Order: sequence, then C-alpha cells, then structure tokens
Amino acid sequence: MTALIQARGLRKSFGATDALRGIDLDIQRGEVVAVMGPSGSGKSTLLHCLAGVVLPDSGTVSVGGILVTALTEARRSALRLTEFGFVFQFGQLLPDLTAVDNITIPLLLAGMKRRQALTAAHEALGRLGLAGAADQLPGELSGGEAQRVAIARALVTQPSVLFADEPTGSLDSLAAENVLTAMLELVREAGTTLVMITHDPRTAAYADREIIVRDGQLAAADRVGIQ
Amino acid sequence: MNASVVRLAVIGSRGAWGRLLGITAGVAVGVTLALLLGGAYQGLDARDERSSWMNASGEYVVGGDTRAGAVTADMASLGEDRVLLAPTTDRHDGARIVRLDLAAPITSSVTIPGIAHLPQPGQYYASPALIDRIAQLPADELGDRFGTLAGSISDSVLASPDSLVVVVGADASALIERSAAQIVTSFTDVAYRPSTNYQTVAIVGAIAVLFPVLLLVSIVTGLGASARRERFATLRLIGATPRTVAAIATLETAATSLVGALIGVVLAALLRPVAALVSVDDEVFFPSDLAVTPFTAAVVVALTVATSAVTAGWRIRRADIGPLGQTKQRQEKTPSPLRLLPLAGGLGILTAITVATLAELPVPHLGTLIIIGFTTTTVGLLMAGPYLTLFAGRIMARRSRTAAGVIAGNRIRRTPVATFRSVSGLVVAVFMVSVFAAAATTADVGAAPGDGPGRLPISTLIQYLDPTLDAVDFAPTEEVRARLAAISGVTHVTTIFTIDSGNGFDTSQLLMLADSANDLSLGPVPPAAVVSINSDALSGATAVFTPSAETTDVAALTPSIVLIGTDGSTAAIERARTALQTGAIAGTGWLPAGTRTDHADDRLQSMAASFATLAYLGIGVATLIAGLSLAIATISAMIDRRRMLALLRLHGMNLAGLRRIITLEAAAPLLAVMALSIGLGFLVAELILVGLTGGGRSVGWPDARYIGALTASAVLALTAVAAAVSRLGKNTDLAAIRYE
Repeated sequence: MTALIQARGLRKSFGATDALRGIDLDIQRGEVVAVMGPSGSGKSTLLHCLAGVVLPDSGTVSVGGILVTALTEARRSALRLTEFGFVFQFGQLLPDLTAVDNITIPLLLAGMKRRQALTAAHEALGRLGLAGAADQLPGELSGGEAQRVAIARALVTQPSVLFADEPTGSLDSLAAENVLTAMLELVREAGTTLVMITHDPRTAAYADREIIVRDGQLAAADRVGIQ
Repeated sequence: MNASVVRLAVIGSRGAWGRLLGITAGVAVGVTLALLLGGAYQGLDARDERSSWMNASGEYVVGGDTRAGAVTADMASLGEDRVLLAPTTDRHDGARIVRLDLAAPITSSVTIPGIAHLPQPGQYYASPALIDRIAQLPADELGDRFGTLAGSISDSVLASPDSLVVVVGADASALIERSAAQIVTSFTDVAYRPSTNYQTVAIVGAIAVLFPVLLLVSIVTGLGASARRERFATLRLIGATPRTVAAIATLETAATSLVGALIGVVLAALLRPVAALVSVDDEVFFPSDLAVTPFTAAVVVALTVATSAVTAGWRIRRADIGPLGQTKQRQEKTPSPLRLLPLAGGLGILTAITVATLAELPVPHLGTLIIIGFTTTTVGLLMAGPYLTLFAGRIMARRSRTAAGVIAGNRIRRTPVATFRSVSGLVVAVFMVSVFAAAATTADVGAAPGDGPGRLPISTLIQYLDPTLDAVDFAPTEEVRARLAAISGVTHVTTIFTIDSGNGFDTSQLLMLADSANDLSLGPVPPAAVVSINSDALSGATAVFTPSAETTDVAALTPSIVLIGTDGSTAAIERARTALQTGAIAGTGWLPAGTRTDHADDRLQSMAASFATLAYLGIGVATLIAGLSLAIATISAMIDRRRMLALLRLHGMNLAGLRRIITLEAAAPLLAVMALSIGLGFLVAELILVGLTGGGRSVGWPDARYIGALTASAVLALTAVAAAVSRLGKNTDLAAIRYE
C-alpha cells in the first residue's frame, strides 16, 4: 500500500545547526503517529517540513502523491487549507473571534457561504461538547476548552492529515485526557491521519506507532524499510 | 536600579533600537512643529507691533479753519511738532502698497521709526522690497509716482521682507485738500490692533496640527509593545517589581524623548527660514519672527519629556505585566452611546448661536462661544469615533461573507478605541479641511466677477474724482484726455458724470455722454445725448444704459469718474495709474485708481482666501503626519499580531487575504467616520458663518483645492496601508514564526 505521506532524505539546517540530517519516513492513511524525542531533536522541524510550512534544504515530501516540496507557496497554502489541519500547544485561536467564528475561518477560506460555515462550526462544537461556548471569546475559555475549539477548527474542513504539536502540553492531566480522547475519536471516525508531537509517553501510547527523533535523525527502528 | 539591567531591557536587540529611533523621530517632528507654530503665533503679533507706526493718526484737517494754530496750506503752520499725513493704499500689479504722503517742515522734530529724516517734497523713503520693484521697472510704470529716492525704510519697522511701503514728501498745500489728511504728532507708541483673526486661525490650526503630532508620539511610543511586554515579563520573572519595570519604561521614554525634543529644537531653528516663506495676509515672515525664546523652547522640551515619560510609566503599570506576561488579551471597554453626547453638545452650542443670531437676540461673547462650540464639536467627533467604529465593526462582522471580513470586523468590534486611534488624525484633518474649505467659499461671494459680455473689462482703470472739489478744477479737458489716451496700451478714456441735485451729488445716478457709452462697447445705448449707467456696472454687473431722465444738458454735469481702458497688460495699466497720480488729472489723490478687481480685493482684504490658504497648509501638514501615524500604527499592529497572522497563513490563507484584513481594519473606521467628518465640517462651517453674519453669508461648494485635499488624504491613507502591508510577507514568513 502506498503511504499517504512519504519523506525522503530530508535535511534542514538553521545556520550552523543541523535540525534534520537525512530523514526517510512513510505514514499510512488513517495512521496515528506519535513523534517523540528530546528538546531540540528536530521534531517540530520535521512536522513543519511534512506540512509544507518549511521547505527542507534537500530531500522531498509527498502527500497523497503530490510533491509538496516542489509546490509554490500559494499551492502549499491551498494544500494546507484543503488537506491539512493544525493544532498547537496554545495561543492559536484568533483572540477577537468567538469560538464559533474561529471555526468558520477555514471554511470561509475554502469558499463556503457564511451561513453554511456557521452551521458546520456549530455542529463541530457540539461534537466536542462545546455547544454552550460558541459565542465565547478565547480569553473566556479554559485551556482545555480552547484546545477543543482548536481541534474543531483543524478538523472542520475534514483534512487528510492533522498535524498536532504538543496538543496537550499546556493542560492538566484530566483536561489533557479529555482533549486527547476527543481528538482521537474524531480522527479515527473520519479516517484522518494524525501526526502528533509529544513528550508524554502516556499520550504517545494512544498512537498506532511511535517514532523517535534524535539529533535530526530517526531512531534506527523507525527508519523506512526497517520497521 | 542597575544601569546594566536598564541597558539590556531597553536596547537589548536590534528591534529595540529601531523602536527607540522611531520614538525619537516622532518626538522630533512633534517638537519641531510645536516650536514653529508657537513662533508663528508670536510672529504675527511681533509684525503687527513693528509696523504699528503706519497706523499713526490724528485730527482730520478742517478746511478753512482760521483759528490760531490751525493747519493751513502753509507748511510753516505745522510748526515743529506736527506733520500732515495722508495715508492711502496704492497698487502695482495686484500688490498693495502702503503709501503715506507726508508734509513736514525741514525743522520738524517729529520722527518716523526706521527712517533717517522726514522726506521733503519730491523725496521718498521706501521699503527694500519696493525699492527693488521700482529699480526693475521703467520709471513711468511705478517710480515716477513717488519722486526721488531719499533712503530706505529699515526692516526693523516693517511687517515683512515683502512689505511695500513708501513715505512720500509733499507740500502742505497739496495734502490739505485731501479728505484723508490728518495732523499727526508722533509715529511711536501707536496703539495697534493685533491680527486676532489670524491668531485665532493660528490657534485652531495649531490644534489641528498638534493633535496628529500628539497622536504620532503616542503611536510611536507604543511601537513594538508586544516584544517589549515580553522583555518586561522576563524581568518580572527574574525578580523585578512592577515599580522597577515602570521606572525602566519611564526612564527609557524620558531619555528617548529628550533626544527627540532636542533634535526638534535644532530642526525648528534650521527650518525657520523655510517656514518664514509661508505667506500670511499676503506677506511672508522674517525668519527671526518665528524664533521662540530659549525659555519657551526649554518649556516645550520639558513638557514633552515629562508627558511622554509619565504616560509611558502609566501605560506599563496599567498593562499589569506579570512574570508570565499577559497571558490573556486585555479587553477594551465597549464604547457606549454616551460618547455621542459631546458631539451633540458642540453642535447644540453652534445651533443655539445661529438660531439666536437669526432671531436677532443679543449673544454675549459671540466669538468665544463659537470657539467653544467648534472645539467641543472637534473633541466630540474624536470621542464619538470609537462608538461609530464599533458600530461599523459590528455590521462588518455580521454581514461579511469572507474570512478577511469576519476577522477584520471582529477585530474592529473588539478594539474600536485602538482601531479608531490609528485613523483619528486623518479624521480630524478631513473635518478641519471641510470646515475651512466650506467657510472659504464665502470669499467668492464678494469677489469681482470675471470678464464677460456687457461687463466692464477688468483691465479698465477706474479713477474716482473728489466730488467735494470745485468741478472746474478737475474737469478732464480734451488736452488731459489726449495725454492719457496717448499712453502706450491705453485704448480709451471715458468720463462718467454725476449731477448736483441741489442736495449734493447723487452718486447713485451715473451719467455718460451717449458717444462715450458707445465707445465702451458694453451693449446697446439708447438714442439720447446723455444716458444713465447702472452704478454696479463698476463692480462687475452687466452694464445697462437707459436714457437720462434728469438732464440732457452736458454743461450741468459734474465729472465724477474717469474710466481708462487698457490693453490688459500690466505695463499699460501701471503706466496709466502712474500718469493719473502724477497729475494727469487734478483732484485724484484721495483714492488712487484701481481696476474693479483691485477694488474687490480692497473690500475683502483677501482675508478669507488667506485663511483658506493657511488652513490648507496646516491641514496639509496635519494630513501628512496623520498618514505617517496610520502607517506606523498599521505596521505596529501587524508586528504585534504577526504570530496570529502567520497562523492564518499556516491554515491556508494567502497573502492577499491577509492584506485584505489589514486594509479592511484601516478602511472601515475611515469610511465610517470620514463621511461624518465631511458632513459635519460643512454643517459647522454653515453654523459658524450664519452665526457670525446673522444669516448674511452661507457656505457654497468648495473649490478644487478641497477635492485635492480629500484626494490627498485618501491617497495618503492608501499609501500608509500599502506601505504597511508591503511588509506583510516578510513579517508573517512561516519559517520565521515559532508554532508551539
């Protein structure tokens, strides 16, 4: 079976620091992958390269047969809009927009009518148990609620891949558990691929597969062809 | 407080240096303008005081007075302590010349400031600008009017380097018959009336200019606020108290604004010669007029530094930066409709004044009340701005169908005060320009109409003759008429008569010989020996000739006005004017000849036009600064939100979408309040004019300059936003932002 995401020979440096030193990686459609590793190991850079946020110095990334690294910024923007969703640790909601308006943004960007976008956003909030928080501003939400709104926004366009960077890193264990459960339920239900960076082994345990990045390289067991 | 900590906290990065440079530049611009405006205000008073000797006056001469000590045609009758003075306004090529004809015995003890000796008959003293003008022209166009140059009038007694002033020596016998002749004993310590109108305009202009300057300073001191907050939060984390952080912010701003203010003082001194070229009342300034005293400069510097520093410290304390920074965005208090009250109050004051004036009720302190009403309306507009912005934001947030519209609309409705602040300078500038442009349209009401069929050409000189003199003395004989007609460029010489009805001359009844009327080619002339011409034809109305009902007897008519037609060239007009003054026709000295444009200018004193020019200049400066403020505010807001904007790019919004957000955030408040500013500007101008003139004047359509000013404001706003969004790609570069 052809992998949804294929990375080959990824190398990326920031000045004198080599963040990625030749990474080959395959991720299957619908797979939940936890990316682990110590701070500064290159986890976030890997995620950014896979999502087309950052272009590698060398190597290629293809998603669903599209060579991401060969696309223009405009085409990569369009790809991120239609195929990818993103969740980060904190501060990702637009502070001036209510929860429901935050969720409508990707839909509006995709050309959906406002009324339809609002309906879809309300549904997404309902699925995450946040129907009552629709008109609240991010500043009025708890950390867990804000993360669930961010997940709803990331998934409302039904992307192929959800990239999550420490999605529960700023939450207490109970809230983290709730957020993670909700996110996994949604991605599994929709068959969405999840690439999730985490430091927490308990969080990683929810994944289908764990890969470890160390000094810009995958641990031996995670390399393509060895798994 | 440790100096190293302050240094690291304040200038620890390249971005911080840029911010400090921005603050310094903003304060420097503000102080420069404040000092120049202060100088101009003082300069207006200084030049009035300096030239007050020209307003010297005294008892008018009573003809035929035979009492002991009475002034007669004999120069000796003046004694040593009196001179005879006849002031008039002469003209050359549209410029006004203050002409003071003076008769004084050579032994006179009376002195004129700035003149070595009193001129004797045939001599004159002139201002340097007039001497230059005379030197550049043939004598028969200007110089012959005055005689022989005896010396120049010192700059120290002139209002402006442009001042055209001449003191002409004359015989007492030549002046005593003039109606303007008066007996003067001193030219010093003459009471003068300050140009309060101009000073009022200077104050209003200063408010109009200084408001955007204060705004600019406020915006630049808030530059990079987000990065700065992070820096201060770090200091708090490692143990700095809120007081320490506030002290650092105060110190930082005090030092920066001190440098900016001192640069401003230097810039003001350097720009003084350029600023002095601004013409007020048709005259530029001496650069020294615009100089402020060292004390004033020190006060401006001290006030600027103190205000900026205290505000900076207060802002930081209010921001309540904790060890973890500001984790949640500080919400703005939603503006309430009460913000509309000051605007309603200002308009109410102006309306009440207007209604009372129209009802002919006495309004005490009218001028002060109008200034209060105007100022309240201006402040009211600024206070109402955030509420109207909120309103616009709500509509946009609700109605928008695009992501950019939803984001911009919600941003505006959550931060209406900050959003409006960035455009408030332009809003005030547009309000002011609308008020002044509308008010200036009244200047056109009194302006002479241009040339046209049936109208006396504006190239025709009109010479009024003194009706109190014996008609025989000044009747333009054929010989005189021929002499005038022989002047190169003169096309015809026509006499207009009045008739002595027994109760004096009836100047409303102007009569002409039919042949002369035909020579004017102004329209059909009825077949009669003597015809009547409407008197307003001399001020530009269409000429209408009717048969004279009063008389047909030419011998009974008294010459009252002489019209000298010219080919329209300045040389021909000035040659004719010079010839008239040098005795071509006797009895003309009381009022020099002028075209109907000259006479219209005399009536208006070009004040309204002068106000408009000043206003446009001030508002031009204000608009430029406001545009700069908008650009800085937009860039600053963009930098502070760069992570958020980059996140939008990450989610798939392209750069065009981000540009739309930034543009909408600036455009919505501008459109919401700008239309109101324009409407209010016209309304306020109408109320003020009607209030001041009891309904005598009303505003009209403004001229092209107004459209130009509005267009310039719009272009500036667009440029400011365009300049800001041009950095958008770099500022939201996905690779340069950390997502975590």
